[in-house]
Amino acid sequence: MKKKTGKSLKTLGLLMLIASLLAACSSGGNNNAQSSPSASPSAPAATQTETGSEGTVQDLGEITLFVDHPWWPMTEWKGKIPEEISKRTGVKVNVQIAADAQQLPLMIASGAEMPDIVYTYNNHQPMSTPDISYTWDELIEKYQLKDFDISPTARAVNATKDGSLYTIRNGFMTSEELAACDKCLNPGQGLSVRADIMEALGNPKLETLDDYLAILGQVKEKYPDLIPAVITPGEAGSYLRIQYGVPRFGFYNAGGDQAKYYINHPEQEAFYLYVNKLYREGYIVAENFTWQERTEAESQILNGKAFSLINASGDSETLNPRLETDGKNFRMAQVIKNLGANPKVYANSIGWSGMYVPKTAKNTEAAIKFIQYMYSTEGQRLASWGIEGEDWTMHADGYPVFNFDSKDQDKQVQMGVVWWGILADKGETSSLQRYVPDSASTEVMMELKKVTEVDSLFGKVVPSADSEEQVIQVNIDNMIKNEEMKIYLAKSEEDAKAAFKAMLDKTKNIGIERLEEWATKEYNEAKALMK
Amino acid sequence: MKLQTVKEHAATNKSGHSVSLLWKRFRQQKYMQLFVWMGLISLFVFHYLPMFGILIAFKNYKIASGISGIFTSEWVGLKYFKEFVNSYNFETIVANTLGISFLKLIFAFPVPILLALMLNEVKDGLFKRAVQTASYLPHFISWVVVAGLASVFLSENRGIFNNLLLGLGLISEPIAFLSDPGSFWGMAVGTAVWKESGWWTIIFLAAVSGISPSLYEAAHIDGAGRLRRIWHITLPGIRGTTIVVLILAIGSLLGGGLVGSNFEQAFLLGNAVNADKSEILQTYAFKVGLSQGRYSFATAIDLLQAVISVILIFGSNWISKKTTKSGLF
Repeated sequence: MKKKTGKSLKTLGLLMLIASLLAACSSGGNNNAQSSPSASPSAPAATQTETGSEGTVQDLGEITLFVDHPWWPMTEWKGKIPEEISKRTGVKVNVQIAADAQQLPLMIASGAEMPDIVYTYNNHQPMSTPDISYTWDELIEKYQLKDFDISPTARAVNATKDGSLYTIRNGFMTSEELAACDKCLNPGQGLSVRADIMEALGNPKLETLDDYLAILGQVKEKYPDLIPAVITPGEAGSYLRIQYGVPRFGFYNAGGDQAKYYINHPEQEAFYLYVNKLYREGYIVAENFTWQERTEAESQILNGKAFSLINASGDSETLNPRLETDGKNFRMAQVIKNLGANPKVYANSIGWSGMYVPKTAKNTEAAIKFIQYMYSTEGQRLASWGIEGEDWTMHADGYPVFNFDSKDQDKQVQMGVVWWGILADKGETSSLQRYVPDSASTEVMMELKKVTEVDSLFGKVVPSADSEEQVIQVNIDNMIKNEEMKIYLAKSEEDAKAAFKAMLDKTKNIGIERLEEWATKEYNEAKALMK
Repeated sequence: MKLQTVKEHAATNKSGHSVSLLWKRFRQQKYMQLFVWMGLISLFVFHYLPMFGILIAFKNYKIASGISGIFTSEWVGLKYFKEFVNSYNFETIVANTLGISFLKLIFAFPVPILLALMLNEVKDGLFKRAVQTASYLPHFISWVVVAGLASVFLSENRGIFNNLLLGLGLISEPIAFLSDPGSFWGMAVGTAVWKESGWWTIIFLAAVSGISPSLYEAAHIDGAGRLRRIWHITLPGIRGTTIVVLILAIGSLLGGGLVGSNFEQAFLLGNAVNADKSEILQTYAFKVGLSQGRYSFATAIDLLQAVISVILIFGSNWISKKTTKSGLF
């Protein structure tokens, strides 16, 4: 009898174990909803003061902020700046970082309960629907936020076709705003070279793309163990396309408000032939195009195996401290002036990420009031720069001077600064932060700014998911990614030209003309809406 | 009439008896049954239930419509299949998939058999164990690590392999393993054989160990040499295992067969430079389908591949039955 009971207990135990495992599996998908702390929907309305720093701020309760950037360095609402923001807004923020790029799409698809605010960069389309998110106007009206100031331009570029405003993407400045703010700078692409070798070569002139070729030739001859030039993966077309004055993705205005896809720009061939020449002369190696990690080109420089790096405007400033730490006896020098005859930067963006208030948000009042504060100048500066007078002071020329190393990521995380400012960055705050007088990166960005042409309307010319236009665009982009390698690595200029022509022919077969026709229509419609 | 009633009664009694017998046997085997049913449930939940998803290959499915969207979204027929077939690089992708897969079948299938035959002939236990361990250890290394190792070893500029060949004077110029499209198939087959052959050798060694030693003794007495014994005893002795493994390899041919890993290799070792030789069905489905959120398109490509695999497995099984009288089912 005892034996039987023991067996039964064992069986029961085993069954319970299986049942608990199955239960754990089935509840796996709901972890997010359960783990997100409950907000307090019954929280009293805030009586927010004008600056927030004085007077009483009512407790608006908690919100959960979902950041759809798996790489986001701030995983908690911690540090003196978040604490100060909570103090001024009465909103306590719980941060949830996306585990991967699929988490938000799956949350949307499964109809799962979403946090109070969703901050995303590549799910604008699915989030901008009335089933998923509130429009800001609905919430502004509901909570009577009459002082929530949204510029007509920001509204026009961010609104959906039916005029609904679900978010305002960050980092967007109109061409007029950018021109009016002479210290506002955007990060860009750049070229840096080994200063010691340049000196050994007698500091030859480096003012044109031909000068660059000539210097690479000398390097190859005198330093055969060095790779004359390395390009950060994915950036082959960035710096050099700017120098040739051609766009590197999306559409551009080919004149008469005709939208053309970037590959059809008449100067693209010249750009490709230049890269091909770099390869044919042995100045870049084929393996460069197989590198997958962005750091591989950098490591060639850091290990003293390459002479020049085609990457970003601030490379010398980021690499030189590392070279010093590594005990290397050489430094990098940033090439300040543009080398191309007709350089041009195409700025066709309407911004990057935006904050949405999902329909399933528990504390919509705190969410919209938090968004409002983060969009205010005070909120922007507090979250991006820190506490005025303590962390920064405004220079007479209108840019912040920091009392801490604002580019040190460890410091940023410790204080909880910079990154939370990006949430609602209107462009001006972050771009002023980049202005550091007499620094090489500032000089390069100033040079790039001179040749920047803003046409934000093209930021609205984005085919909707799974539409025929999107299929064409994806197929073209995918094809170019493979076919352009045949141009870069062609054995002769004739081969390169033939490969370029073959690539353009393929774009026609895939349907580039139809895509451009659609883009022209969208562009002109967007233009009409702006009027 | 009476006879019929008696017969019915007997039949009822018989069926009642067999049910109770079945139940008795079931109770006797309850622990075994538990494991079997767990396996069956797992198979049903993870392999049969998701098959409903195949529907989206024929529908204009949007992920935002959730699971119900699988059934409610609009039918589009063969739209995504046509789109794939009309892709500018359809021929290249299919040729690469078939090329790599058949090369793997040709080279990767015989290697474990040869290794098993050779190991079977080794009498030194320590050496045999050392070789066996060394050959199957790579199986436990992830493809991400193998791809990293391959990049380091095969690099054109700083790779150990090229440096070695140059040092030995065997080549005058480094070989561009990673950036030359022509090298990709060889690299894929070579690394897969290195990684998986030792693992499959275990199966064949187990089959060899099942052959009665008396057969070898008899052959030895009859004067058969080592090669004769391998040819007339060992190989026929492992024929059943060989056929089963071959059919399974053909069934999963497009995924890389016995050594698998077509996707991992093409994804990790493939790049824009060698795309002409490294882009295969699975990576294309991933890049143009899943990464772009085009689940219907990705499903259509995978379904196409699955259909080809089913045809291959039934076809190879049929051929095997016709020619050797033995098959998988």
